[in-house]
Amino acid sequence: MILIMLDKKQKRRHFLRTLVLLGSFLPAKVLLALPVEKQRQAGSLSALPAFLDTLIPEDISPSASQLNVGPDLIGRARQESGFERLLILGCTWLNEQSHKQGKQLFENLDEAARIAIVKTAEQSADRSLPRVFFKAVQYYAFEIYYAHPESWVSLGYIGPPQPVGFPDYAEPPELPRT
Amino acid sequence: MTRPQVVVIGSGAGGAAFAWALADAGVQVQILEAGPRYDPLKDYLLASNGWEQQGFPAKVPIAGRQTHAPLQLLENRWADLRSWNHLTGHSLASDRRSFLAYNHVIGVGGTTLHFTGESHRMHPLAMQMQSRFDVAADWPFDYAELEPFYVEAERLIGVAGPSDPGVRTRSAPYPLPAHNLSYASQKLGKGCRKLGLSWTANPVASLSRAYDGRPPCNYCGNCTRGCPRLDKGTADLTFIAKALATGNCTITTGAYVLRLLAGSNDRVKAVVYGSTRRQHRVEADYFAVACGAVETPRLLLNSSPAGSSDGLANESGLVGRNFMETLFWASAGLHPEPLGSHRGLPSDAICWDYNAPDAIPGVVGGCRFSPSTAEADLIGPINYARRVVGGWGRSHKTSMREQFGRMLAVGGIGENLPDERSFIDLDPNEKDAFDLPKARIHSHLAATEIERLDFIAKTCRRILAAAGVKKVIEEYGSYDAFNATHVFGTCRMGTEAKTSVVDSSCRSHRWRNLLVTDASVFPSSGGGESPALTISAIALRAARKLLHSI
Repeated sequence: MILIMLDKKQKRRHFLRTLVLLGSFLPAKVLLALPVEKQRQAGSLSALPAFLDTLIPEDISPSASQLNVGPDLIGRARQESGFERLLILGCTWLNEQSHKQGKQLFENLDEAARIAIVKTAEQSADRSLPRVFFKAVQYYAFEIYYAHPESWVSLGYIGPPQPVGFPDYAEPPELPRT
Repeated sequence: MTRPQVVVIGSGAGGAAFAWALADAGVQVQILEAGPRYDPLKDYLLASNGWEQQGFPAKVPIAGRQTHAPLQLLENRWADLRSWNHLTGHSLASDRRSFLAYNHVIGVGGTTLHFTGESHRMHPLAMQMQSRFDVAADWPFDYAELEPFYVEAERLIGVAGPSDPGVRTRSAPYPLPAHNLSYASQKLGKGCRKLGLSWTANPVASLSRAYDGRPPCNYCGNCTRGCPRLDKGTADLTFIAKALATGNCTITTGAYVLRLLAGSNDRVKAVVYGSTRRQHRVEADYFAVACGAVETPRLLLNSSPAGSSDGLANESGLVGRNFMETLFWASAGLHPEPLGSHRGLPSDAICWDYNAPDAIPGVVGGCRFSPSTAEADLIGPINYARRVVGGWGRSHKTSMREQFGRMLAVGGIGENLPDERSFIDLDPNEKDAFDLPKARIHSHLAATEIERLDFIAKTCRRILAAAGVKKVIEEYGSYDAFNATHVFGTCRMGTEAKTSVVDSSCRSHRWRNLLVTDASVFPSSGGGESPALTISAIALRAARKLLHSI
């Protein structure tokens, strides 16, 4: 029947639009004027693992870091300069927020403080840097994290779909062990 | 093979069936396919952990192959038909209908490579829309005439279906028994029964038992991503494989047909195709075009005979006209119980109750309903996280555990009647890599179409609610977006040369060695039936008729 498709071009356009929007924010404006290499020096992605682990913490299933979501995300971002710039700006923003709380770096905050900052990002205005950063990282973090079989166990999802398939398809599902 | 007797352009449900029927009878056939072959074992990555990250692994991108004219403005009175998601709001912000995609696959087997396998026969009355309901056009033959070819196509493909034929009378049973319904489909069935609706096994080209050297389905639910198990009856594994096995058929991949060359005596003399380096010319006695209802009219319009600018076989002026698209709706919600709804065939059940052309109150043209959870791509953890659960932190993870496997979606597809504002023409401004104008899609949904869609949407919601779904979380449909897979009508088949492009044998009324063997020839779309089986049956019939001339 019908499929909803989101192709790579659409994703690329999304980030190009994001980049244009970010042009009106400081220090985004300053950072955006720099080549990517300079941005990498000026900004830092050190806050990213902690940010990801705040989005996807460890409980009975692994955290984002335990499944290497950060390196995968950065690797993907490096193929898309707009996305990499967004990560750098977003992590810079996280550290600015943590500075306001008297701490040096976002990754050194305790979980409650990190959660408070992530909430601020989530609840920021639609086209603001923190909101765009939050939504983009959430979107791709989910994709990378939930492509790992370790993340499926507690869901009761016994995948990938092949080669076994789901021969029990006509029966009530077995509930996952918790 | 030196000079083929018949050249077939396109290898989907129509081209493949047509080629097989001729090759099986000893005719020398050459198939020209614009795309590549797919190797199910290498190309369909359902055994990899990243399976959910990609849809069907198209080797030839479809984006940008066609253009479209501006679509219609949306109206507030139909606000209930906007596509939306509970986390992200309206999917499309524009106040104008958006163009998302003409979904088709370019490759050996065509769009059957990513179809769900639905193998429907037309409702007999849906072939008589003009004489009985004063809309669209009648088919030039009736259901009984097509029935033996349905039987043959079902046997060659390997269709599993129910024993009760309903209004679609049968001269032979399905070659395979129907599949059991998935647990999630059983829930939808309970909902239908509460509403007094039927819910029966859907005929599908997925094997319920080993058949013809292929294994039975193992219910992974991902037919639309390509079947690596080889049980789905795609055209490459069935008609094409059998045609090649006769020794009378060859297939040339990467052969992008540029034009048909008209000769003298109202006959087409050759076809020209381009490949990566140069152009080739192939002569034959007969030519069959089977590129789908968008690219077939484009090829004919790009093949004007000398002294004409109207295109080939366009004496009626109807090449590209009467374009019909997929009128569809899907509603998805969270069921209170664990269903494991990622398991099972994507479309294993069907409600035919509103399929007859006069079944929907107040609107001519029918529809049908079936499960849509897999087609909505709500069968993997990534889409649950993004579209169902959202959020973050520990609460997100807890909700994922509570909700995974509980999504239940039902979809409906309806008749789409021809409209003078829906057609295919050549874009005067955009050309392809061979400097030929691209097809331009014009699509308009008339009020009657939207009313039918409204009925479909409301019925989907009723079914979901009756099945126990308390919270709808996503809906989408064709009111605010053109997103068509089933397209029809642009080389209408009929008895009169003035009102149709091809005759009842799919041959051009004037160019007698030129045929069209795809859904372009449909005079009406049907009441939501998936068209692949009918396309193949029509093509088999056309081939048998042609054999009398060869």
